[in-house]
Amino acid sequence: MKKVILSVAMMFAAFLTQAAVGKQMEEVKFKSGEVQMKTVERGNDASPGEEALCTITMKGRIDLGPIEAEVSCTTSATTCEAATVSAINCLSAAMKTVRMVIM
Amino acid sequence: MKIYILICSIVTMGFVNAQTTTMFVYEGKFNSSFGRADNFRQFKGTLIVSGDKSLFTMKESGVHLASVQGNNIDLRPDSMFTVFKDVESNSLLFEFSDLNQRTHLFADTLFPMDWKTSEEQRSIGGIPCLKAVTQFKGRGYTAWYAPTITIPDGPWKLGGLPGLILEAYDDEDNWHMTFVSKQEVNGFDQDHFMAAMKKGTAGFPAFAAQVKKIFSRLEAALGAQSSANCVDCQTRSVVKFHSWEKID
Repeated sequence: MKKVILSVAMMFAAFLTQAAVGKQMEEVKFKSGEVQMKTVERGNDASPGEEALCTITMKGRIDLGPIEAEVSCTTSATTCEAATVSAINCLSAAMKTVRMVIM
Repeated sequence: MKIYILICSIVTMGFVNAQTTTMFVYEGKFNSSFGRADNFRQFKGTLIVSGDKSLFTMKESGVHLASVQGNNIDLRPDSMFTVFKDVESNSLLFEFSDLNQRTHLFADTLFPMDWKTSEEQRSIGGIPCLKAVTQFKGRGYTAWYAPTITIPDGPWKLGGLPGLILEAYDDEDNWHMTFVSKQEVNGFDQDHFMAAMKKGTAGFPAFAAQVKKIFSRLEAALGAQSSANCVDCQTRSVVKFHSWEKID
């Protein structure tokens, strides 16, 4: 009986040490003055050693007055710095494509 | 006989010139991100009324230059919300500027909105006004109209009330026009609009189709770009389209 109780306790403890599902919202200010929300997600079945992903979204606008097109780039990476750089590059490329469509 | 014809011509010219043309000036604002973010700019609106015909347009206060820089591409035309109305023929034409800043005219229904009036009063520019509200093209609007100015017109596409609309705004106050002054003017060039009406102008569904075409063009271009640059496919670009008027 003691062994059963001990086994259950150990299993419960192991469960508690698993990375729980949760989100942290952080506010990041970029030089342009735009404020982007980033979401740090941890997988609900993450085990020790598995890296969490940082997701960044950058947005651009094409303003036609009463019509607006919004372009957004969403990138996930193991670090927020890498995700930010990638999202910026993605948005720059996207807006360059839009400019080519316009010209 | 010649004198008779001359007298008739003079009388006719006098009659034509007697039709006064009044320009009502508005001041206000417009948020080009309409509620999703703050991108307010100040505008001056002018409503020129000549008999049964009128022309409304909005110009940004100060200097406005279209720009293609960074992550914000500004292709707004110099004049926005430009609308020509002809009550006599029950017609309305509005302008739309595309990605290449070419201006197109489309037709729409004149004053289809169903106004709910109230006894609520206020004074605008010293002129007593009554309140009316309506739902139009997916947005709620409030209008303050002056029963003493018997012109059933107003800023943009709004009108149809028993008095000129001196102030109008949407429920979220993303667009707001308030009357500030009026003056007599010589008239405005109606030929461009009358010719378009005579020739026949595509209606609102055609406008909606053109807007969707622009959006599809951007979406296709960005889709091709994303696929070409996809290395790890953890980056994706998405295009969303927003319109001031509801487009189905």
